[in-house]
Amino acid sequence: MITIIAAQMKREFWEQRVSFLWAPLIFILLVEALSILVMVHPHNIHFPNNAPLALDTLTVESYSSFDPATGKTRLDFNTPDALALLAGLHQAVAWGIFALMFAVAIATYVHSTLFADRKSREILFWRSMPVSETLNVMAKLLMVCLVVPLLILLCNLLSFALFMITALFMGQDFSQWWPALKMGLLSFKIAGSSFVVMLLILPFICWGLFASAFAKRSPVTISIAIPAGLWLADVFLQKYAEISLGIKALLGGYWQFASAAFGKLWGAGGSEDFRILDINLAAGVDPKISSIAIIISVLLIAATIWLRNNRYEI
Amino acid sequence: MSPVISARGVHKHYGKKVALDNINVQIDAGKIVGLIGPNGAGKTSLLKGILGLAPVAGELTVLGMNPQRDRVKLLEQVSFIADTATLPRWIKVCELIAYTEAVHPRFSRAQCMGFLANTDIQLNDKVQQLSKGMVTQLHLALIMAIDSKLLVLDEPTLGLDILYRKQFYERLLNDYYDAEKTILITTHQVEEIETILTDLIFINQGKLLLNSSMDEIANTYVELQVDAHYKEQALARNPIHVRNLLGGFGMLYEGADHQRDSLAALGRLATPSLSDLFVAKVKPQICVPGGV
Repeated sequence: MITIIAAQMKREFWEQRVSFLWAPLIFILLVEALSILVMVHPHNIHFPNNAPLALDTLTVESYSSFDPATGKTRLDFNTPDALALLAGLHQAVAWGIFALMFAVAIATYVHSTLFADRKSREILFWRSMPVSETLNVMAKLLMVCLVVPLLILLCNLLSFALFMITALFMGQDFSQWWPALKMGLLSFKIAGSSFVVMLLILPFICWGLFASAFAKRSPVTISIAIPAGLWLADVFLQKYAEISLGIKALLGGYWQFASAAFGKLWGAGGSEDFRILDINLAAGVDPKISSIAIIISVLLIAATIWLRNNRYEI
Repeated sequence: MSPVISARGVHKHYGKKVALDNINVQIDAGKIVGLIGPNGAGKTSLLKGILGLAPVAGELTVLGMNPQRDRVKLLEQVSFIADTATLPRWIKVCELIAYTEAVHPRFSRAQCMGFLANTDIQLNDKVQQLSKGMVTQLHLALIMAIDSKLLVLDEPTLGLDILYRKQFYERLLNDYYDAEKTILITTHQVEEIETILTDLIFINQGKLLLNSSMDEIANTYVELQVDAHYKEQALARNPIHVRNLLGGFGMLYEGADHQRDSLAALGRLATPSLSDLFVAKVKPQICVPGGV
């Protein structure tokens, strides 16, 4: 079974080369270009409201100076360990960029993967293989929840390697290399948070897959219209008939849970506690809402598998 | 030995349209069966039922399994080629082989590579770079490398030129078929397969019109190529189909064993081609004695 799932995941990777291979490579080059720009003009880095910024064990305050003329804090790259700080910052920013890129890739993937194959005759080939729809759907889910975080890690490591090589070519003091290299470990810490983010958005991923398997014409329309319709119905029923479907409360609760978690992840920009990579997303999670989210995800996946087996004839 | 395919009272409808109407058929191991019918006759519905791709009502077992319920297990022993355009265009040949090897327990990479060695297909080629004929060669190489008990071919040579079509069936016979394997073929190009079939099934409007071995067909049906002078006498012997020939008529008789001698006196007797038999069964055209 593991061999089949692995083969299915390889197939997904081959089929989605643009999203999972070429786009990340292009973004790695973009991040590299950005790194070079920052290394050439480091004084352009500043932070909102002079907020102290902590990066793992390093604090920007130690390497920054306040410019009263502009009212902004600037990084001082003449201080020791400046390369390490820049390397850490590179890791955090690169992760944000890769996460955004993969968010778009995932949204596209989950909405199309179980829809496009039904519209193509190639499904007759896939269906001629002894692979169950359960394994097929699970492979697609694993692509999103397991492979994408690993790809983000890989992108971050590659990008970091490029950054260090560039720093060497740009004449950075070699004595600063070891502390900077140690910052590469942040990639693994970030990868951990990527898995947590995947769990946070799991119900949305499962909903996208369900819409993809359910839709006759447009999975995106189904994906948006059904929750929007249910939410509106709940709002109207609550307002005019004092009946609650629980949809509004569920979505609202989940939104609060997710925004609190993401808030921790990204740091509260502008506040006194602006931190990056302070990753403890599980803390403060409402067990009731997260349990409901997991149950909904499981039900959606079960429904998706049922649809694949029974809804449409090939 | 239990039959490879056994259908009893199988029916299926899409809304009010009946696709399969009380189909009863049994196919034994080692047969090459042609499933012939016009467009919309129910061939694909029956094949989908056999492959577990669509539910059908009635009793249908393939290799002793329920195709709908045991689809995955069944597909370990059943292969099919739907038509020439089903291989994913974005995939590389080597990836296709690696995938099939990983998911199919009865696939032999060595055999597949052996089949491909006789073609111009390169492992790094993408399917979209291959010609239609090469895609078919690739698909056939993949399928022939699977040691399956039943091979289902649904219009496998559609759109191919005559060289590839001939090569397709030659390779199938020479490199794949043996007494343990059963092949079920649907095609419109009946003349191409009539020499390789052991059995024949005609289907029209969801009903079986004919289900017989080729030997039985040769014994049961005869075509009389008769001069116009003997038309009335020939018509009096109740042909099931009449067609015009240059200077005469071709009349097809069913159950002709007992009257072969008397028919031979009227003209030349021949075994009807599958296409003539097909037309006769699907669209009978009969002239009555005394008619024009």
